[in-house]
Parts: sequence; C-alpha cells; structure tokens
Amino acid sequence: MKNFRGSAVVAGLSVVALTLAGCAATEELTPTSSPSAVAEEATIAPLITVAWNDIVDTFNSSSAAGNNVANSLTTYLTSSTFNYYDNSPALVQNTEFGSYEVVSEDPLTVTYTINDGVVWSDGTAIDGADLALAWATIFGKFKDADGVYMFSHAAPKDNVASKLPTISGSTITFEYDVQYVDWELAFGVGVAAHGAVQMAYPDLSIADAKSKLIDSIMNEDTEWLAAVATVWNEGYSSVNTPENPLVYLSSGPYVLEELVEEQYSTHVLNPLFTWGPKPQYERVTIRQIEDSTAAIQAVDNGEIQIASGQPTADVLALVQALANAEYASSEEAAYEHIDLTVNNGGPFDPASYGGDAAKALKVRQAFLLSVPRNEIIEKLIKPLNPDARVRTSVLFIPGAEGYDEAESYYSNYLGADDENRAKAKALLAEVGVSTPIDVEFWYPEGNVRRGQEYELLKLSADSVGFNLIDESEPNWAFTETVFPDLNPHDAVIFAWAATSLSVSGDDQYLVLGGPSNWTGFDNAAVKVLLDELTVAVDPTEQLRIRLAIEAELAKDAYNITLFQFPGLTWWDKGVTGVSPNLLVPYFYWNFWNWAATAG
Amino acid sequence: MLSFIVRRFAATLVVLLVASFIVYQLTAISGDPLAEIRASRDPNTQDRLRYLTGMLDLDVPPFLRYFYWLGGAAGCLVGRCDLGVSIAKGESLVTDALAGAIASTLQLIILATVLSILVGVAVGMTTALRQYSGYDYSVTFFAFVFYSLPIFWVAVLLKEYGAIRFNRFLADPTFGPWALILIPLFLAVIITGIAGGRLKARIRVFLMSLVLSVTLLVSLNITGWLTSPSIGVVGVVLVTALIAGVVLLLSTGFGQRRAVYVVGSMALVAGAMWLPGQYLFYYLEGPLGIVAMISIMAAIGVGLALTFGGDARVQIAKIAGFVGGLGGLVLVIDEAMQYWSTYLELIPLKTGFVSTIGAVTPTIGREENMWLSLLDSYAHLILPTAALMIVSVAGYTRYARASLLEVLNQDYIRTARAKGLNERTVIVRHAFRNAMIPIATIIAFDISGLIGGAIITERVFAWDGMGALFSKGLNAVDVNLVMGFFLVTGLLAVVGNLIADLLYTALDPRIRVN
Repeated sequence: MKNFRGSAVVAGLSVVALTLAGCAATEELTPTSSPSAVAEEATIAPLITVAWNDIVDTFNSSSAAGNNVANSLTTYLTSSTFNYYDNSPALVQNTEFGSYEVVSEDPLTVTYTINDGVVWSDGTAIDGADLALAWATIFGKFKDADGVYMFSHAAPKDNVASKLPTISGSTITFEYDVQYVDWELAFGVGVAAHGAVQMAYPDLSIADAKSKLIDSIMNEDTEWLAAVATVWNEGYSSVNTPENPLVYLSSGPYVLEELVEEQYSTHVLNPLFTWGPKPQYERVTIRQIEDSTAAIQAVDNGEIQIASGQPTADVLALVQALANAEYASSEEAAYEHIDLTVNNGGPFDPASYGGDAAKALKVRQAFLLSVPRNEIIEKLIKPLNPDARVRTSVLFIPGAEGYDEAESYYSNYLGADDENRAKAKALLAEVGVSTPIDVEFWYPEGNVRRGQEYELLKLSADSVGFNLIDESEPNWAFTETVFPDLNPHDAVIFAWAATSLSVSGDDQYLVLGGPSNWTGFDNAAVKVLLDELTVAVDPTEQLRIRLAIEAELAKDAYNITLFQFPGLTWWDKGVTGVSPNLLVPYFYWNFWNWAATAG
Repeated sequence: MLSFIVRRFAATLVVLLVASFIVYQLTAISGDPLAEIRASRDPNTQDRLRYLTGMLDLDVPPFLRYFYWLGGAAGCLVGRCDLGVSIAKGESLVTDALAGAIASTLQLIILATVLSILVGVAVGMTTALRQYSGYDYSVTFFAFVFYSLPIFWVAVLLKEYGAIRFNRFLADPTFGPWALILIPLFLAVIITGIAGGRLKARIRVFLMSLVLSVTLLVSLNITGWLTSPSIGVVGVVLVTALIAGVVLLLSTGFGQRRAVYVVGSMALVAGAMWLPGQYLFYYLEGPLGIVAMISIMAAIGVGLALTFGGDARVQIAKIAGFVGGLGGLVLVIDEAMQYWSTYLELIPLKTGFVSTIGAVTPTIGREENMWLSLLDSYAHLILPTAALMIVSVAGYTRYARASLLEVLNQDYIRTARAKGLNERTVIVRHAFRNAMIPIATIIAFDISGLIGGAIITERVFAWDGMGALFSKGLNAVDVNLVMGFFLVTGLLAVVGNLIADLLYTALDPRIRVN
C-alpha cells in the first residue's frame, strides 16, 4: 500500500516534471529552431504492438535452422544492412550504415565499407571482424572432414567466392570466382563476430576475439573456428529472452528487450543507433496471433495496431466493418500459374503427334488461350483485392522494371476471354486434331479457391474443345517422384513464391533435369541464356537476358500466369505510415515511418 | 488392487504402442512437410530441401522412421527423452515445446474446470430439486443450446460483446433507463424461478429481487464502481458473510446456534483483518503474502470454533476454517483490486480492460509486480474461461441433475425422510454426497480430455498451449510435434481413465475392481 501510494506520487511528480520540461523545452527552442523539429520530438510514442503468425526463436536468421520469416522480422528490426527492398519493389542502398562498390568487373571484385561510429548495441564497433565472419559463413569456405559446411548457412555459396578476402579496418574486399549475378543480395553483416567468438571462447577480450577471428579465417585455422561454428549454428536459439546478451546484439534501430515463448517479443529503441531513419515508437511489440479473425478483433479492441493476413470474403468483410481501422488490399509474393507437361505423352507432348512439335505447340497455345483469366480475376480475386489485375509474366513481378516489356510478349493472350476462346477454337481447327482432347488436370484438393478456378477453367476449356479430367489430390502428389520420373498430370495449377528479387534460381524449374522442373520443359536457348544470366553482373544486361528468356517462354507456350496472391493489411487509425510490401519483410519494411497520430 | 493397476498399465502400454504407430503413419502420409519450400523460387530452395530432408530423415519411409522415433521416445522410460526436433517450432526440441505448452494449457483449463464444476453442479442440482418447474425447463433449454453451440462462434461473439463492446461501454459506464428496467426484470424472473414456492411467495421474491437489483445498478451508477472497482472493508465483510451463509446452508444448516455464531463472526474477523492485511501484504511480498493471509484467516476460524464450539467444536472448526480461508481469499482479491487504476494506466487499451488475445500484456510483464500480473491474468483469462465454461457447464448441469434425481428416488432417501430428518439434511447429507460419486469420475476423465481438447479455444484466443501445438504440428505435417502431443494426451487419457475407475471404488464401497 505504501509502495503503491509512493509510486503514484512519483508518477504524479514525473508527469508534472515532464510537463514543465516540455514547456521549458518549447520556450527554449521556439526562437531558434523550426516548429517542425519540436513536433517531431513530441511524436515519439511509447509503444506499438503488431501481429504476426509466429515470433522469433533464433537470433541468427542466416543459419539453416533460423532461416524463416518470423526470425527475419526481428532481425530486420535489430540490424542494419547495406541495402533493403522498398515497396516498388526495388533495392535501396543504406549509405548511412556503409557503402559498397564494384572495384573490378573482371574478375568481379567488390569492396564493402562500414561507416565510422557504427556500433553494436553493446558499444563495440562493427568492423572488419564482422565482415570476415559474414564472408566465411555466406560463402561456405570452411568444411569439416566429411565435407559438410562448418557454418550451416541457409544458402551457402561455396562455388562463387573461394579466394580469401582482404580485410583492413572496417573494409572487406573480395573476389568472386564467377561473374555472380546476385552479388548485391549475397553479402551483408550477420551476427556480431565478437559475440559469436566470446560465446565460444568466453575468456577472450573483445579486441582479442576480433583479431583472433580474422587471423583464423585468413589462416584457415578450422580447428579454432570449429567452436565458433558450433555457436554460430546452434547458440542463437532461444524461445525466451536469452540469458546471454551477446545472443541478441543489435546493429539496428531497435534491440530486443523481452521475448516470451509463443506470446510476444518486445523491442526497445537502441540508444546508440544514429545511422539511418529513426523510428517514431519507443517500443515495438510483435504478438503471435495465427488466426485472422482474432487479429481483426484484437485491432478492434485496441490491443494491437497493425496486422495482416490472407483475405477471404469473410475476413475482408470483418476488416471493412472495423470502425477504428484502415486497411489496404495488396499483393503478395506468391503468384498462381498453370503449367503444361510436355514430356508425358499427353496432349501437350509433341510425341503424341508423331513428334510434330508445331502441332503440340498450337494445342498448348489453344489450351492456354482457353484459360478464362479475366473471369477468374473478376469473380475470385477482385472481391478480395479491388486493385487486382492479371499477371502476365513468369519472371517479372508486376510493377518491377521490365514487366511491361515481358507482358507484351504475351500480346496474343491479353484479349477478352471470349476473344481468346475464339482464337483457341481456330487454332484447334487449324491443327485438325479430333476434339475433345482429354487433359488430366491437377489442383490441390481441399483448396477452395483453386477448386473454383478449376470449375471456371473447365467450363471455358470444355467449350473450346478440351475435356478436363479432375485429378485433384491433396498436397503435391505430382512432385513425389523427382525428375526424371514423369509428371502424370497434363496440366497443373499452383503458385510459386518469390520472396526476393534475386535473378538466379530460375534454372531450378526452367532447365530439364532441374529439381523443380515438373513440366519437362526443355529449351536449348533458355538454357544458354540462363547460363549467361548467372554471370551477368550488369543490371541492364541482366534485364536484356531475362527478357529474352521470357520471350522464349512465351514463344514455347510454357505456361500461363494468372495473378499475384491477394494480401490484406489493416491497422488502427491511430497509426500512420503503414504501407504493405509484397516481399519479405512485408509491412514491416518501413517500420521507421510508423507514427502515432496526434491525440 | 495392485494386480489390477499392473494389468491396466500393461494393457495401456500395448494400446499406446499400437495407437502411436497408427497416428505416426497417418500424420506422416497426411502431407508433405516440405510443400511450402518446394513452392519457393528462391535460390536457396534446394539447400533448404536437402537440409530438412537430412534432419528429419525424410528419405526413410514412415514405416521405418517410426522406429527411429520410438527409440528416442523409449528413452523417456529411463529419463532421457528424445522426441526429436520440431520444424513447425523453429527446430526446437519437442520436449521443450511440450513443457511450455502443458504449462500454459493448465493455466487456461484449471480455472475454467473448477468454475464449471461449481456452477454446473450447483445449477444441475437445483434444477433436480425444482424438477419440472419453469426454472428446470429454462435451464434444460439453455443447457442444450449451449451444449450444441460451436465454440469458435461462441468465442468470436464473446470477444465482440464481452471484450470490444464491453470495453467501449467502460469508457462511460452508466446504465441507461432501458438497462435499469430490463436487467432487473430479467434477474428477478430467474431468481423467482429458482426460489419456487406458491404464488404469494413467488410474488414476494419477485418484488424483492426487483428492488434489490435496481438498487444495485443505481448505486453502481452513482458510485462509479465500474470505473474504479474495489471491495473495501464493507465489501469484505459482506462478501465473507455471504460465503458463510452458503457454506452453513450446505453443512450444518442455520439450526445450530453455535455454528451460526462462530461461522458468521468470520465475516467480522475478515473486516477486522483488513487493516493488518495491508501491512501484511506490504511486508510479505509475493505469493508468500497470499498464503500467509489465507492460512491466518483459516487458523483464526479453527481457533474460534475450538474455543466456542461447544460439543460440536470439531465439526464447526472444519466449517469455520474453510470459511476463514475463503475470507482470506476475499482479502487477497481486495488487495489486488487496489492496483486497478495503476493497471488501467499501464495497459495499451484506451478504455476497459478485457483482453482478447494471449496470456500477458507486455507492459505488465515488465513491471514484475505480482498484483498487477494477477489482474493481467484475470483480464486475459476471463474470455477463454467463459468460452470453455459455457460448454462444460451445460454438460455438468445435465449430469448433476440426472444423478441427483436418481439418488432422490432411492429407498434410503425415503427412509431418511421417514425418520423425520428435515429436507436440508436429507438433500445435503444423504442425497448430495451419493449424487457426487458418478460426477467425480466424470471430472477425472474430463480433465485429462481438456488438456488436449482446447484446440479451437486456444487458437481463437491466441493462447499457445497443447491445442495450438497440435494444430501447428498438423498444419506443418510436423510428425515429431504431433507425436509429442499424442504421447502426452494419450498417456493422460489412459491415466485419467484409471483414476476414474479407482476413484469410483474409493467413493462407492459397493464397486470392486478385478
């Protein structure tokens, strides 16, 4: 009771003191500085709570074990990078943290420099040791006796940069073995080097830890590095606030304050942070909420301020009914597409027409033309995202550079559905195959939206001269057997998710024998272009090659893309500056712009 | 008895083995744990696939993989559990995930279960006593309505009306004229129904409860109690007196003068303990203060009864001790309520306090004040507890009603009445205890079922316990996690069953195992 009264008195006094201080500050500042500066100071709000379906459990999101979206969100709040995606989407450089440049085009040599005064949240400078550790982990330089990577990075790239870097001060310079096209996305500072080393060797001082790490990497002392690697792989997992602060050192605007298993993680402003945009909230709490309805009601109740989810008609209606919240329909990274199998002896395989590739091509074109894309968008997607539009490109996200050009390669498919069906009929009449042509069609059973898409597609395609056979099965049945086993279905509908704008990786599904090539697609020109692409560092060159690949895909009637998945973000009217982004880290991308509205 | 238990456990082990094999196979073939990664076009896709395939032994057919799992699970028998790694939970150990989940599920269901039993048994037995009355029919009707309500729908409605709208109402908590008319009318009808009796008595009860509830609501309006609720000395005395009355009614009745005086005086003792209590809670921080207050009050009750109880002192001591303990609990609640305004200032909600998600408010967790945490738990538990209760109360009501009706038709009840015992003694002593036997066994079985059964409630309220663990595991085709869940709930179901059987033999000497 005494305690309680005391705290009330203290609180009361501090309110008075703060008010006085505020008055004094304004009086002092008014004559000299602009009023906007005062207003800005005043807008640091105490707390914003946002929702996600999962929260952090590993603070090293580069490791194989920690590489998931929930971890990357906390990493995004608590780290600085050389670049990030805005919502165009485009890659933006963060020059206040550090800079990078290409020193030499051939061999591709790059240098990264961290600015002076940039420090970890414990005050230790971010410097060459951190860059060295990042280099060693990303490029998989060190392997144990069995040939397994010592640092289990989520995507080790041991074939692109094997020459040891040179490190001086806060600068690293290293050479790529190949003209690595995604070099700009490949490198960035991960966890703190002194943290990893001190967890492995607690007796070392910070300076010793740093210099010993650099020495060991430069001398390839794998014996000494083994302990560091073990820590790097396993030492960063924690479901509650880690006991050792080295685990969650921050180089970003926020630093972890509290983590409660399966409940929330709270991040408080990092007082040392000066390199980059300053957030407007003292604390950010990420609450774990899996259920969309729960997240909507929590916004309604004022418990959380921002949430997002995949819209259904019900979810959208609930969000629209919120009196105290705004929402934005948006697009997500995944996009729906229909792929045709060309090597299983089905209607799209030239072998079915005695090897007549031209005939098979026309049948494929006719089938793709018979897909009622506009109707699908109108009936299934527009109700969820009024701004939805057809996506017509395999490689380019709508809005990204090159998309318009890519779309023009598919000009034949861009007309109205009726027009396209007429064209499809004409094509089938031209090749003179006997209709109806049986098409064995797979879609994931139990997925309501795809079931509806199938119904619309069947109506349309059957009217043209195909006969769609429902081969829906739950869960990826067609991928159970890996290439070269044949995909038993002639046409499949599913979505690819691309969470970055990386240029490489398309060979997984576009080259015959690629691990995700379930269509049997095989085009020599595409293969050559992809090989060219992996070493094309120049962005204009990349664009040219990717457009050329897209042109080949269009010419071969490889597939037809439908739409970007609809997303929905809703937020309390008390918050401004929220803007959805279709790439990771989604609406978190501009957290420094979130601000509380006055009052 | 021992051989019975041993035989039951042996049979249990076989059942668990077979069931675990089936569940493992069903989960493993229910989908592809890598589906989401397969659909990714990111450059690191193949690395992820290789990494997870190796870690989860996905290249081994489920039929054989089960025995890998069984090997690890068998370690539990010698204290070295290895239930594998969960991919749905960030590759943490399944045993760790289970430990956290069990704790939060227990937190959720204990309160709900205790309250459901109390309310359900009370309502059920009163309906049995007023069989075929309007009250009985209404309760039966609502019990069936609630029993058949889907809980996800109840939960969403509860959030809308119990949290969002109630919180907005608390911004300016005054009852309007319509509320002042309708709420008392509603209450009066219910109370009249329970009280029963002849027309004249009914009219009297109706008018009295009408006047009482109008007075209550008006005084809530005038004092602004809903804005800053508190109990205070007067509240403590009144509430404890009420508790004493109920306990007396159920135990000795009001006929025994000494018991009435001793137990009734506990209300005054609680009031007298209020001021010393403030010092007690100030000097004894943490749970120790709560335990101390409850034990002191219970001790005073026992002491008073032994001193002034006369011939029946031992029996009165039990009752007075019980009432004293509950009075201590009222004092504890009073102390927590004193932190109410501080609590409201600290939480992010603009108005009101009822929370719809999770188990704690981050700003409160940081304060590290037990009283604030108690209030916070209450604000978070109130809705999920209500949701769970609505369904289980309906069930218990039916069981309790049926059970008491059956007992009331027994010969020994007629004998007791023929002996000239008063109705209260017949009901409380002879009927109530025997009617509780089947219910006790149902409760033992229910609790083990609830541990795994709150899947939907947990999801809707973002409460991460066993249910959330299971649905997470199943969605991600995370066989290890689902098996961890199965192991715990399967064991509990079997053990609960065994306890129910043993409890029956202990309570009812007519039943023998073997």
